[in-house]
Amino acid sequence: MKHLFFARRITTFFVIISALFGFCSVSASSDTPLDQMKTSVEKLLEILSDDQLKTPEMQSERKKRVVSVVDGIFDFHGMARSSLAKEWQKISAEDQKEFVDLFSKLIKQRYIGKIDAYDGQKVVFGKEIIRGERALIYSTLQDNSSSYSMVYFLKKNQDKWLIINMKIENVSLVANYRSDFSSIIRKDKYAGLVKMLKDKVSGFKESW
Amino acid sequence: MKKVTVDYVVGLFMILGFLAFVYLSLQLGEFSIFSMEKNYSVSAQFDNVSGLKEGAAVEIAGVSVGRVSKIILGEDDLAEVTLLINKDVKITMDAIASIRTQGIIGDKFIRVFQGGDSEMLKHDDVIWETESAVDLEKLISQYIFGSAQEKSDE
Repeated sequence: MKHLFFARRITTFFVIISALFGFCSVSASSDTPLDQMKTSVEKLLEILSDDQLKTPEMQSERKKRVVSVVDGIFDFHGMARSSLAKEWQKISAEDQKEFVDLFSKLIKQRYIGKIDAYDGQKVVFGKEIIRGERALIYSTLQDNSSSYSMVYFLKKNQDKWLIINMKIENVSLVANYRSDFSSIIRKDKYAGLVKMLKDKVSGFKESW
Repeated sequence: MKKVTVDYVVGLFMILGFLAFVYLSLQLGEFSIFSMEKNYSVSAQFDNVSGLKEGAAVEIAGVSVGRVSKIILGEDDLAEVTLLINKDVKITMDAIASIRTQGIIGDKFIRVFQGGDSEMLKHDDVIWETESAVDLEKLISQYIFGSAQEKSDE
């Protein structure tokens, strides 16, 4: 059952890529988190369906635009801290900075690097729940044959709502990294984790 | 006079026995009035808590650190679960609570993944990030339905 679940999760990850980078930062302070999300998805679809950007020469420009959007709506610092869990408090400020950089590159490489997989999937938003500085947004990603539930956890940072975690088919992204990282740290210490992350993102262009 | 003393002793014995019984039932019961001194409560909101019962264990790294004291239907149709956590155990603000099963068909319990926040949860705080109970039937039907779809696409 676990294997089945895992296989399903991998497939899901591939399919949701398109939705992941679908959130732009353009927003007014009065907007609700859901309004911000909706504007972002529209922006994303605009970039993705722009024929001019589909040519091979424009590939890097297309990725750049998507990344600039993603940088504005994900709280990579919060996600990295949350994923590293206890170890975060033990490392120095410089190491923390380095880790955030590696982590954000890892996420971008893993999900945004596959934007070409986008094939007309639709994002349908459901309810939003706001409790003070935190919010939850429910959405469904609809493919031709199946749909996947996605829940975003957002936190208000000054006037902007930033994504601090997401759940795809009830699997939490941060929880997943948290358990992966902690088992690597137990085995190879923090230095081992950094080395592994560096190896993984080595092929990642600096411009991203 | 002697009879009165015996009566007193019997009465005292009865009262002691009764008190012992009350203490025992409070200690073993689902809710203990003594528990509030040793524990603090935090709540967590889940989409689905199917199979989770009051009294279920709360674990960190497989170690029991508390239990579920109340499950109610809260705002926005979310299940609101109140957890009683041992006072000695501190849980980070960004901890993630997930409902897991002991074995494949075992009891449901709540597993808490500690986060990296320096702020700790206080009495009556909320664990915001949660993973709901895994719906096996849904997964199976998705798998079967999904594979049928893929085949028809070929």
